[in-house]
Amino acid sequence: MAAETAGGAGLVLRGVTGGYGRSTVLHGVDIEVRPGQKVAILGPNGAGKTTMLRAVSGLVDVRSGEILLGGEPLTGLRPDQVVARGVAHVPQGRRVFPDFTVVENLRAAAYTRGGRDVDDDIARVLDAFPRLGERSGIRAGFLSGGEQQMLAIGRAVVQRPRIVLIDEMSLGLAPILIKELYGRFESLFADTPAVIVEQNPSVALEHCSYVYVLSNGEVKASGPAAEFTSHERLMQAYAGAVD
Amino acid sequence: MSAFLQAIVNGLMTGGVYALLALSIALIFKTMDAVNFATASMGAFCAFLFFQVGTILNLGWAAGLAVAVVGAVLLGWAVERGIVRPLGSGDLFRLVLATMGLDIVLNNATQIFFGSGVQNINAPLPSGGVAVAGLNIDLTRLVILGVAVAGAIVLGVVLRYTNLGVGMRAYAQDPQAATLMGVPARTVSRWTWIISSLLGLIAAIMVASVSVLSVGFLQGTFISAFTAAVLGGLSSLPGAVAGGFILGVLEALSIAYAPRAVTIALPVLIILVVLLIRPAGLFGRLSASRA
Repeated sequence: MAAETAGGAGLVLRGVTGGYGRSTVLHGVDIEVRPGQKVAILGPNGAGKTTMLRAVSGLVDVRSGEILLGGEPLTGLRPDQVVARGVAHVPQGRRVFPDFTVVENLRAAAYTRGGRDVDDDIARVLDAFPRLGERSGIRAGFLSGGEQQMLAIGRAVVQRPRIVLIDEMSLGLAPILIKELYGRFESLFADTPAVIVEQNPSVALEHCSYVYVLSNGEVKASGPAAEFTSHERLMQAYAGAVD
Repeated sequence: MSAFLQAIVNGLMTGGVYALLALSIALIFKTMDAVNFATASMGAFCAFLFFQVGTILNLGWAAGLAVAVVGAVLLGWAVERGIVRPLGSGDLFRLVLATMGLDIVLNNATQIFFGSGVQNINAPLPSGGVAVAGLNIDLTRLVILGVAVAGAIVLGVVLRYTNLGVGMRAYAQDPQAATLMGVPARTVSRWTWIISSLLGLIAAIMVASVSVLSVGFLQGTFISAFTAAVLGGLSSLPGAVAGGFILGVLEALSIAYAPRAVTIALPVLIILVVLLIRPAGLFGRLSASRA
C-alpha cells in the first residue's frame, strides 16, 4: 500500500445501540480496532455481527453511542459519505454487480476516488487473483461463488480504504478456497486494519490478532486471538458464560 | 411491394419517437423500479414552454430551447425532490399512484398556463419530401428520426462512459451494493429523473412538430411508448429502442394493410401478447446472477 495509507485508521464503536425500524439489534456495543490490526468478530447466527458492520457503513440507524474512524465521527453519515471517509465494506453474499464484467465491477468501486491510477489497482487485483484475470471480460453474474468473493475483495482494493470490513468471507466456499482467499486478503491489505466477521472461528482465529464474541447484540467476550484457540473458552463465550 | 417498403420506412420514422419516449420510461423503471405515468404530461408541459417562447412570444427557437431545457431539468429535479424522495423506497405503488396524480396536476397546469386551444406549430424543421428509389421520404420525419437516434446515442454514452452513468447502472443492479461502492443514492435518483425529463421533452417537441400542440397531445404517444418499453422488457434500454422501432413498423403495416380498428387497438394487443407469451419482454431477463 502507499505510504499515506500505511496502518490505515483505527475504528472505535462506543456504546452503539441500533437496529432496523423499531427492533433493536445492537445493545451498547463497544469495539476497538487499532491501526494495522486485524480483528475478528465471532458469534452465533443472529448475534448482530452483520448489523454491527452495517451500522458502521450507515446502513443501520444508530440510536445512541458513537462510531469513530481515526478519531472522527462516522455516526449519522450516509453510506456514500462513509465510503468517502475511507471505509470499504465487503458485504455478505458478495453483492457483485451481475451485469457488469469483472473489470466494470472493479471500475465501479473507484466511483468516489475518481479515475487516478485506477488501472494500476485493477491490474494489481487481476494479478493477485489470476482466475479473475482470465475472466476479466465476463459478466460477474456468471462467476462461481469463489470468484465472486475474489471480485468483492478486489473492489475493496480499488477503493483504497483506511479500514476494511468483510462479512462472512468463507460462506459457502470450499476449505481450500477459504485458505487461498484469506491468504490473498492478508497480502492485499497487509497494513490496513480489518474487521473480519466470521461464523467459522478456526479460520478467523488463524488470521486475526484480536477477537470479539458477539451474542444477542452484546459483546460477551474479547481478548487476544491466542486466548480463544481453546475450544472450551470459545464455547463458553458463545454461551455467554464469560463476562 | 413498394407500398410495403413505404410502410416500413414510415414505421421506422415514427418508431424513433416511440423509442425516445420509451427510453424515458425504461430509465426510470430500470433505476427506480417504478413506471412514471406523468411521463407524457411532463414532456408536454416543457414542449409548451419551447413553442410558447419560440413562436408565440417570438423570441426565437434558441431561446425557446434554452427555456424548455431549463424547465425540463427543474421539473425533473422538483418531482424527484418533492415526490419521489419523500415517498421513499419500498412500496412501488405509492410512487406509481403519485405519478398518476402528478399527471392530472400537470395537465391542468398546462391548460391554465397555455390555454385549452389547439395550436398548429410551424416547427423549425425542414419540410417537404424527397423520392429515394420510388419511396417518399418526409424530411421533417427524417430529421425527427435523426434527433431520436442522436438522443439515444448520447444517453448510451453518458451511461457507459461517465462516472455518474456507471453509478446509475450499478445502482440499477443492486442499490445497496452501489452505495457501498460510494455511489450516492440521492444523486442517482435526482439525475435519473432529470435525464428522463429531458428525453420526454425532446420526444414531446418532435411529436408536436408533426401534429398539434394541445393539452394532453402526448398521451397517445405515451401509450405507444409504454407498449414499446414493455415489448423491449421495461428494464432494458436497448430493448426500449428496439421495441419503439418494432412498434412503429407494426403500426405502419397495420395502417397499410389492416382495418383501422386494428391500428387503434395495436398497443393493447401487443401488451396482451407480450404478457401472455414472454412477460420479460424481448430483451428483458430476470438476472444473470446465480441464486
